[in-house]
Amino acid sequence: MADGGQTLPGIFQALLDHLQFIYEKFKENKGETVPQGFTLEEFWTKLNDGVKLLSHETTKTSLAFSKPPLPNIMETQSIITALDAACMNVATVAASLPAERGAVLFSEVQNSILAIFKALVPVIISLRDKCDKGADERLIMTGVLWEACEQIASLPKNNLQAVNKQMQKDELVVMDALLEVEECLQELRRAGHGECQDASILDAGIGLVKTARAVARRIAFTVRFNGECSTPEHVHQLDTMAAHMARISPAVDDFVTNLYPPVDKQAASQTASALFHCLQSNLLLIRSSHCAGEGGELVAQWVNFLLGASNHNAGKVLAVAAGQVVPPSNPPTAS
Amino acid sequence: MGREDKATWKANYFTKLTSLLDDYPKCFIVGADNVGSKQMQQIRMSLRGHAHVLMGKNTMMRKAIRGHLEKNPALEKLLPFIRGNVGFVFTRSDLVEIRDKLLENKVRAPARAGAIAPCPVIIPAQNTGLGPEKTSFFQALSIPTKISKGTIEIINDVHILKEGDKVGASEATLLNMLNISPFSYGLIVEMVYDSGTIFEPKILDIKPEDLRVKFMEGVRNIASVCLSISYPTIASVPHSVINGFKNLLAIAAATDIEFKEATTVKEYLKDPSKFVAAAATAAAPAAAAPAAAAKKEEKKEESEEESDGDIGALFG
Repeated sequence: MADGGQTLPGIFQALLDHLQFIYEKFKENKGETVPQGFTLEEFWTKLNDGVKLLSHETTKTSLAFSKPPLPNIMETQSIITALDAACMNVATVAASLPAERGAVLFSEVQNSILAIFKALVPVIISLRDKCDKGADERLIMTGVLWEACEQIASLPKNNLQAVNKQMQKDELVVMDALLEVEECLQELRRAGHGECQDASILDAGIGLVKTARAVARRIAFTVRFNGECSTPEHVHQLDTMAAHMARISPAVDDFVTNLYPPVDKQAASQTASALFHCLQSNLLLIRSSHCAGEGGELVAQWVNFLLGASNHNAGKVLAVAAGQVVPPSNPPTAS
Repeated sequence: MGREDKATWKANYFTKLTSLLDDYPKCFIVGADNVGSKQMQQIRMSLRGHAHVLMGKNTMMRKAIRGHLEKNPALEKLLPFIRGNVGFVFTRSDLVEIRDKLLENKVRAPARAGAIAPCPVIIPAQNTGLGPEKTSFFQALSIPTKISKGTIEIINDVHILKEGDKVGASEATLLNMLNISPFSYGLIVEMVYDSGTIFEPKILDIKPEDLRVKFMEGVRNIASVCLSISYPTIASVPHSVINGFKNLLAIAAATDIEFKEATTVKEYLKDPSKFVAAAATAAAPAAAAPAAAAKKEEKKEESEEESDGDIGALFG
């Protein structure tokens, strides 16, 4: 197998080493430098082309080693050089995205590119260790790489789109928690435990989770329609709002898990307060952001309403947890 | 389960999920809609020794995973998919093998009102055995029927539900009356997680042929780019040669330049009628074949008619 001291496993190992180097360097990149004449349009064209090429080079490599006759050392070297160059190109292009274009966009791109490299590593390890004998297992590995590469075309193209996408995901997860907690209360009622204290705290908690969902939904909607990313200030505001919004779902989940029987009243009260503060900070943030629009009366109106609703519902949970009798009422939510 | 036990169970659930995430490098996120507890038990039994099924409240699963992100940040990819009626199937075995085991464990189920049809449902033309008093059920769904020997007969096949349709009360009642259980339910693989990478289950079905198809797509792209920028590569050279030859033929056709390969084109342009005759000659044997076949058919029909004639003899 040797040719000029080189072996097939040696060639693959060299690629793995270089890939590891690229991966680490890319992971360290914070996007601090702004390349001269950088435009997002050009960036996306170059990145999409580069990723397509990388996907193709991987397909070529997998196919070449799928059955005998296998490529000889020189041919392998040429195939691997092309694959290595494609990786390097993708990393270089992706690293040219400046972080100032938006932290959410930056991390979306960063994670997607890292996912591609991560998907490529098992392919190369399989080639190094099993050569053509690993052809079957490499089919799935190559498929995973294709999927990771295809994701690039559907990535959000600017920070506003990236923030919208993230907020939409967060909203869906909060909605899921609401459905789950409502179902739990129904089950308690069906089992004839509708009047116990666990059920009444669960009932009060649903009001707060409904408010959380309304907050997430309203914010996502307002950002989608009023959000802009044309100035660094707007981009920064979007990032801050997205970071705050991402805290709602964990706060909801923390609260809800404490509501399930047997209810830990102290933990329920603490997590209700934490959720209330999380909702409050989100609402105050959108009210003072560019998304509130000129004057911002309309946004201020529903923000005030939801601030009141969060306060009311959190207070209700604390009261029930403290053993006070709270008259049944429909929890207010945004209309 | 007592209050104390439930509290312990809640605390243990987080430990159990995180230890499973640590112990198993691979897992499926599975949808469990319409899967009953008995079926779930069967699935667990069939996977014993190969995989571990863990269901639970989504909020608890997400909380456990978030608490474990410091140790394994890649698990964050799972979070957006923990929505709806889902659970985990953890394994160290081959993913395709476990997926197939899950598929094997589907069970037939009757159509319930309000359910979404996972497949189209057709009621075949048949005698239902139901008495005429049940006609209203068929009329409610505009199903053409007739009474045959005192029972309702469905005249034609009826496409009662399309995939994705919501099953109405009338459809559900009728299908149950006819003892038709049209759906089959089981755990559905929604996402696959393997050592920090998450992907769709369709990836598990990639065949060597897909690899070749994908490669050829790339070759075609390279060929078209190379052709348009006039940069010869192995992928584009055959096309360049053919294109060049087409140009030569065009020049030859328009000038007096002669070469062997251009002769046919030139002759055709000079007298197309010659080729019409040639084409007709070539077409004749081809046309004759179906004609012969038709003749054979005719003969066959005749013989069938003859044999039909024999029936009359029974009444002779």
